[in-house]
Amino acid sequence: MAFNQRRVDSKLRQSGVVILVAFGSAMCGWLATNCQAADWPRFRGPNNNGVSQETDWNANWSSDGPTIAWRVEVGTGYSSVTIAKGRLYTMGNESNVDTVYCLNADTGEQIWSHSYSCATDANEFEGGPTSTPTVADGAVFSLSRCGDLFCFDASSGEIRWQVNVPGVTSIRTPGWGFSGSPWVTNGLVVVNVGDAGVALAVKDGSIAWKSADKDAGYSSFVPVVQEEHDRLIFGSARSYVCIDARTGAEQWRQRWLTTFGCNATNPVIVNEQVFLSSGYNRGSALLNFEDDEPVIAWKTKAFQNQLTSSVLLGGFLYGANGSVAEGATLACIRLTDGEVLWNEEEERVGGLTAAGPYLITISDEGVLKVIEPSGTGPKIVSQYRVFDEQCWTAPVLCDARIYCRGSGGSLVCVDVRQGN
Amino acid sequence: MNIRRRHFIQSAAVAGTLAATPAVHARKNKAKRYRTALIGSGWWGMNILKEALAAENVKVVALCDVDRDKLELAAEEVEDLTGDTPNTYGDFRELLDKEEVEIAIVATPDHWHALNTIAAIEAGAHIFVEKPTGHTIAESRAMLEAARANDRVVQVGMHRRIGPHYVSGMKFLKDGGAGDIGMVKAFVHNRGGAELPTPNSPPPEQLDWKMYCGPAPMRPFNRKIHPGGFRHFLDFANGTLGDWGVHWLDQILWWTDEKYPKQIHSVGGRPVKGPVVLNDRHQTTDAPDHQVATYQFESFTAYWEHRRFAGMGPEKSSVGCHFYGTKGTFHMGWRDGWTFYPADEKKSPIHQKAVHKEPDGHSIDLLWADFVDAIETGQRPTCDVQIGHDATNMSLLGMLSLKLGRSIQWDGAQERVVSDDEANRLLSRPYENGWSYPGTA
Ligand SMILES: NC(=O)c1ccc[n+]([C@@H]2O[C@H](COP(=O)([O-])OP(=O)(O)OC[C@H]3O[C@@H](n4cnc5c(N)ncnc54)[C@H](O)[C@@H]3O)[C@@H](O)[C@H]2O)c1
Repeated sequence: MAFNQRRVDSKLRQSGVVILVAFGSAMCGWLATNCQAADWPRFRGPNNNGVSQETDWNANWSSDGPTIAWRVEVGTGYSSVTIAKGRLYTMGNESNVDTVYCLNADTGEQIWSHSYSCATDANEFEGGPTSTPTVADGAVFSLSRCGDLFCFDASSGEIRWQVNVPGVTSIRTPGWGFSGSPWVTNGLVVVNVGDAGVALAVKDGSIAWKSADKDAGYSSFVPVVQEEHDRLIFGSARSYVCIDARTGAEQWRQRWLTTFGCNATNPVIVNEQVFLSSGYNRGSALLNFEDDEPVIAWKTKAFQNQLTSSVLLGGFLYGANGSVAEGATLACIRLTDGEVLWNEEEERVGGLTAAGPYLITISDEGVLKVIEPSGTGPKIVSQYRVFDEQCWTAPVLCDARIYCRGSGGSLVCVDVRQGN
Repeated sequence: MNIRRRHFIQSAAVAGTLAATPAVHARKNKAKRYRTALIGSGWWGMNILKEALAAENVKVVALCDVDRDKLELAAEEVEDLTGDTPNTYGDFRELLDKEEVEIAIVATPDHWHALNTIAAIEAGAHIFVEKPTGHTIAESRAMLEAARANDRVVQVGMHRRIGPHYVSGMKFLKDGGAGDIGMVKAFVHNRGGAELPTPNSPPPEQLDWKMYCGPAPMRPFNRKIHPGGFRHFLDFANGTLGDWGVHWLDQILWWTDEKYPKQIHSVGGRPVKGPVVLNDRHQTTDAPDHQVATYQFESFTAYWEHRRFAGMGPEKSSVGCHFYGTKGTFHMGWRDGWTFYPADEKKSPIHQKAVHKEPDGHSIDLLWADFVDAIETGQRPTCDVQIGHDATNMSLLGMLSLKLGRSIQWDGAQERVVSDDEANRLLSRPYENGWSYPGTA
């Protein structure tokens, strides 16, 4: 694979992540870069890494907890939220009917919605949609577990087209249904269907290319180089693959078997290296590249991200380690050598995101926390129980609000504006 | 492309990053290393193999599974832990033919235990086999006979006979801590609800589905079955009673001096999970979602109860055995250890914590040491095949009564149901796909 080193470096430097790595100091580099709120238009945010650039929010909550701006019910599911132009998009399921919602991100009021039939299909989890809608070019793309891909007009909610992707491509559905979020690039929308993706034309939903009829994985797409959206890395059932989104051509493939064909987390890409982690008895590895082929720099079984992808802050990856059913716990692994520096048994994590020096975690039972982590351990800054239900979905910070979603259907907007 | 394992091992050693894995050359003792094969390289098989590796008395020469992904995962793990590259097989007969195996670990689904075990015994191996010993009673009997005829050690994976809190709890009971015991309840309860049929699918390309079904009837592949789900399909296993039941009913046999119950009656069904579906397009599991089985012994009554809905309810634990005695109630639990609740409510309960290997809460390390010790001393291991057989029979007799819909009188000395030909026919079953039923039954 032709990783373009210069380009990666300069792009990443702008994002602030590399500055943290380079200076190891949390605040300085980070404050200097990005301060205004941005949209969160796709799963894991604008930089595809689960790290928000927002600084203007209140991490220190009073003992009463932060203000809850609004609460709504969106149905069973694990879909996270995306936010663009003040609108929030998510999905849920009730009684074997999926609904895609567009809400006012400020008030929680519904702007439009669309429902269609799709089995709840609980299977070692509560069921319902597991992918998150993607907003791009004035459209919203959503993928159901049954493989129904919709293209909505973002403002009106009008359906521009809809395609059942496994149906038209004759590609099988993996055990837990389709789960990766759509990726939009160059007039194509790519979905994690089949061995290494399927692409459809944004304009009419026609199939541009497809991969082999094999089980898909459950991860979303991460571009090899930020802002250059064509080379994508993502999890297939038994490997992570890198493709050229324009043609579907495979660039490389790293065999990555798990007990259940379940590669669900997004790779974390830093400079020329790719960090992979899966649960189900797999573990983590860091890939280097030699002659455009991946080579494992280190691997370990001691850090396993089953469903929630890790975030990278200052050379350390923080993530939910272990099986969610038994309670995954917050752990820290050093990027350079794969050493697990700590694993906080008491700190159960259902989902997490990062903003500046902080992690924002939510426990698998709905306790939202702001945590200041370091190589030596986590320091809890604030915490508040936002609901009392299972939660395996990462919270989202956008415009000084934190959005939390429980699998039972609670969607809660926590107001963390300064002075609030 | 494939993981470059060599490269990994070298670079990892250099970088010192084999965190959490024992170093390749850190063998402490010079004890004999038994040439060991694993047949059934899934979840539990690998748990056993990892304990065996940690004990540093095996060399893993071969792995067998009908799922090539499982084989590859297991081989990678063995290689990462030891630096050895085991040979891999899809057919246990070929493995036993080509490798000289001193120990075989059998951790396939239940319906394979007898054929795998007997073939490995006949190839000269000592066996560590998972419970239940058989899918039908005569299979289990054939295993016992093969072990004795060939003078091989057979340890059954009932680690609840060796884990520290079980041992101390049993001593408490046998020392009369709970007084005279008249009744025992064994139980496990889970949460759950209705079951919707799951669509069948073509078998995954890496899976030899015909060899998975083996002596059981062929049926369409369904992801609910493999991996791990076979326990809830009666062609391959015997539901919760045949799974958890073996461990907990064994506690009763461990405690009592009696060898077997005289009368067994069981009822149960699927009112919550719903009707069984098995057609070209869909399947559900077919094991009962709840079951009660009573076991009448000479000097006490025991019963089994499981529910796959409603959770643990008002009780303090969701799993274990309650021994009801004149001095109070003794709960032999799992992760919650054991607790004695005196009948005199003014007295405080006595509690003993559990000690286990986590994350899966077992004591295979101790059971493995006991197994190797038995091989070396020629003594019977703690969970000898007879013990596994007796415990398995408890579960299978409960299933037999449930299937027949009537109670049965058990002649444990002859291993026959008294005056019930139909019941006696269910002590074995027809084998399919060209496999022959083991033993003389
Ligand atoms: N003692 C305990 O506490 C305990 C706990 C768990 C499981 N078990 C027992 O372990 C056994 C395995 O259960 P599991 O949960 O690991 O299931 P699993 O599905 O994870 O593993 C079983 C493996 O056997 C393989 N297999 C099937 N037919 C085979 C054949 N003919 N040859 C070789 N491999 C074959 C399957 O492909 C699968 O990989 C069961 O009998 C179960 O009762 C015991």
